[in-house]
Amino acid sequence: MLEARALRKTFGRTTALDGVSLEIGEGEIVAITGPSGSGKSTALHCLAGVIRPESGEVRLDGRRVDTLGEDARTRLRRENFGIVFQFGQLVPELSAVENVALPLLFNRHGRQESSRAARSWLERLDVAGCADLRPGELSGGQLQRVAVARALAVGPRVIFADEPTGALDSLAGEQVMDALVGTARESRTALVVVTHDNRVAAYADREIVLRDGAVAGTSTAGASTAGASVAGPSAADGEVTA
Amino acid sequence: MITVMRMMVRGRSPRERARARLMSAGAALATFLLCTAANLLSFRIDAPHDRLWVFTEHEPRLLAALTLTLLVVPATVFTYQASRLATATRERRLAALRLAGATPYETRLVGAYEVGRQALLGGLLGGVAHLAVNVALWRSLDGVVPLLSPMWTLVVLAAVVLIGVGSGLAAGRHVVASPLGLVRRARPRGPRAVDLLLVGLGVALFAAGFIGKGRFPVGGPYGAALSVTVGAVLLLFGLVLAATWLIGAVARRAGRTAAAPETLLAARIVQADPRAWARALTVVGLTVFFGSAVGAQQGDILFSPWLTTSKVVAYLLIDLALLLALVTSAAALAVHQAEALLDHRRSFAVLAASGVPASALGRVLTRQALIAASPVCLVAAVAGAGIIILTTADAPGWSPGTFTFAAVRAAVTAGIGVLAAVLVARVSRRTLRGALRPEELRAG
Ligand SMILES: Nc1ncnc2c1ncn2[C@@H]1O[C@H](COP(=O)(O)OP(=O)(O)O)[C@@H](O)[C@H]1O
Ligand SMILES: [Mg+2]
Repeated sequence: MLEARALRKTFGRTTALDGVSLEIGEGEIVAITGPSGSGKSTALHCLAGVIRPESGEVRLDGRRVDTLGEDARTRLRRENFGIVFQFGQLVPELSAVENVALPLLFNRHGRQESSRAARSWLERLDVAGCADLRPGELSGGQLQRVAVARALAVGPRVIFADEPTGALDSLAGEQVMDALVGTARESRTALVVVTHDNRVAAYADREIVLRDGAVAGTSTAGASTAGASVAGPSAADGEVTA
Repeated sequence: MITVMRMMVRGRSPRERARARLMSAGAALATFLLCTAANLLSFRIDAPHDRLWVFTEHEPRLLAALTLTLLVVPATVFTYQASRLATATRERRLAALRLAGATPYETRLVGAYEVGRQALLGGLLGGVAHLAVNVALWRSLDGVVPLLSPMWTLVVLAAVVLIGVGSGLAAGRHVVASPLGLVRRARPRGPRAVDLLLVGLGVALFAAGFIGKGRFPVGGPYGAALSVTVGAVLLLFGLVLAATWLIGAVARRAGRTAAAPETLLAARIVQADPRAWARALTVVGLTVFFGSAVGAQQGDILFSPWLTTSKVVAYLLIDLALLLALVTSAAALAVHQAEALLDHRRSFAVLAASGVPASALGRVLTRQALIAASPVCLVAAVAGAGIIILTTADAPGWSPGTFTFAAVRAAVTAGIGVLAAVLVARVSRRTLRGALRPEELRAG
């Protein structure tokens, strides 16, 4: 459904991506792992159409994404993607339910209808009790679950999550991942999660390991949960936990 | 402690440097104005003088000093707004200090040191500028150099620095940095009884100064001027409180009924910090108030038989001065918008990444300005025109034409006030584009 071919992206003299190719299937859950600075976030931003690679292509259902102008990419992101980051993504002045309703409102749904949908998403993610609180009054785990609800609310085809548990302790991180993966599977939404945490990667159907801006290996669920994490030749030394 | 303070000052970002420079500029301007005002009051040229009559005669001298002192108000508002720039980065650094083991009081001291330092620099600069201008001016006039006594200069400088340090300490109150390095902004409190008491005191002082002009119990005319000045400052504080309440109420209403997401966002952002908007808009509101009042008076005279050219010119000059005041307050507004944007750049960048067009986020900025500025300008215009109409309506010469003129002038003046706010918001859309760059997403 979503595929990238030979992505290259440089920032000044740093080469962030150096020929990355990968593919995400319908409803598939994929983890992108690798040491810090290996280009995971940059790859995610290219896939999500937030930035454009210098060369290579990104296709959604066979349609080129990277060649679209800013307006068209913005619309495409709004209609197809949901995004979750590590922290600081909720608008501090809006209550949790308003934060979740926001993308629905931007998609021209009515106020009542959006609020109702937002509340039911908060319920599904087990944070219904926080609906009328502002982000400043929520714990890290609650914040992330509200962010997940916001990403899911528009019914996206792919959710991109960049270190969604990076700022959480392991228990809260587990709860967030359970909720994220659970709802993604229920609604048959594909999920691309960037992480350098093995436990997070273990939730995925498939793990793609990046090193120095290139794919160093791929493994499927069985292999990665068994601990023999990576099937690629250059990542055999287990760099995953950098 | 001092070492830590110095370290913090050295590690400033370009944005914080800009903030420091703006604050110094504001402090310099305030010092300059205050020194010049004090100078006007303190020296004497006893013999009557044909060219220096403005400064030797009592009334004009007092009036000039009072005007200069009142001009300190926009300068102070500007400085205060500048001090709030880059708060997000600064708060993060202060929180890092807490993490390193500093007590809450110590972090506040560091904040106060930063502001105090800038106030001192600006104060020195303003003092020197005052000296230079005075020497040049008086030399060219007469060869006499009636400088402000060093004691008074020091008093002004000390006052500027003290106010700086005090506001730095006070600003720290709103930031609750936990020992774990997390920063939380305390919810702004509503007005307390003490605030209302202060406003009442302001009214009393203002009135006492005006009524008791000639026979003021202490200090004679100086005492009266001081009373009026202090009263005016307290009144201004009261106006900010009233504007805060008004803006908060309008924003709450707009947020409840908003159908468009842009309006919802704008209303909630204004509602979360109506005080910042009130501060920035009070000067705009005052300008609109005086503009409408003067307009109503102009109507009274334009349609009366005793219209003269000199009166028209005088009114044109007043309008020009009002326009200048509006420009100063627009600068304070621009600073406020920049600050608000910096606070939101990450959450806005995430919204943009998930497909909200930049143009929609731009509309959030203009709608904030509309929500906050419209009620303030409306109330100010109605009050300004209303006071004049009510106090002079039974005078001869009032006609439907006069009334229409006053109403149109008030509407136009309010419109200009709102327009200024919206224009500032439109200008900060450029800053918004910068804030939406994907690099903002990278902290994760
Ligand atoms: N906007 C940018 N400006 C400069 N360098 C960047 C920028 N974005 C990424 N990089 C560099 O590209 C490389 C990959 O970054 P990133 O994709 O964030 O890695 P990861 O997410 O795996 O830690 C790093 O060396 C980083 O410093
Ligand atoms: Mg990253």
